[in-house]
Amino acid sequence: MGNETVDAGALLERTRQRDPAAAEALVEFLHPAVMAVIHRRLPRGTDPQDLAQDVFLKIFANLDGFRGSATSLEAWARRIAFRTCLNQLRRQRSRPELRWADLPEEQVEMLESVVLVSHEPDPGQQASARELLGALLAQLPPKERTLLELLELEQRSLDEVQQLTGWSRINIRVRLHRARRKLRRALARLLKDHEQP
Amino acid sequence: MNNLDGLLTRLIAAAREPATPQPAPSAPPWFARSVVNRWLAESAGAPARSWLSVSRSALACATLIMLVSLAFNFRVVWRRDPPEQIASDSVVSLFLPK
Repeated sequence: MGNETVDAGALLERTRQRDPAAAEALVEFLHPAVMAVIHRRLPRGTDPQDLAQDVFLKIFANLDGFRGSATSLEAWARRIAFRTCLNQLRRQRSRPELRWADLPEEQVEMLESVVLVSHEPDPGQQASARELLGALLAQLPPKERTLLELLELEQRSLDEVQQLTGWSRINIRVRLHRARRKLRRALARLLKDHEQP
Repeated sequence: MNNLDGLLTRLIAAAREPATPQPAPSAPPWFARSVVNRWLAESAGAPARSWLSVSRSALACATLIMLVSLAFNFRVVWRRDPPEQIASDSVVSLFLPK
């Protein structure tokens, strides 16, 4: 850890002086952290390497303004990756409202047995549940959708989310409340659609 | 409402994936070189871009000043008097006691 810290600090300094070799080494060093964020939040139809390039260009463009220590460099890079993904999500159109009639058979079965009757889901139903929830989440604004994914699906702690997003705790709580309310409405519309054929 | 909350909680629980940290794939060999080349090319073009933005701002300022001065001198510009009279009026107004 100590050596890594020293290396990151040295790489940072040399990259600031436009040393290409150091910049390449810095990319290699930060690549796993950046890709971990991108793989989780990759917007549909986006190439991960293209998005990673954009993230690194933003990192380099803001390197002179980075005042943190070498140890906070990875967290800073993760935050830039997260914001780049959010911006990319914002550019995509939100998906249209989900109708019961559009659901594939497996999702209908899963909804009826797991959600409405509360049976334990089997692995196939878990995949259906993920797809259905993804479609419902796609109707939410990107920030709210991402927050629900982080806290409810990935079960990250509030501290982790705060570090990744840079949002205050109160902001996170307010957005989460709003997101749950919107998701509940989306589910209600879907179920109502089922009750009134 | 509570019922709907319960349904949503069950859907989320069913969709939840076990948190198994997956190792992030390493960067392709060309990746770092390509990023750094793009960065260096873009930062080399940055001064030219900043000059471009300065000249655009200067042009916008000049246009604004021109429009403001036109607004202040609107009556003179649109006056229908013959040019000789305007010239003589200007000379007279210059020598009039203030």
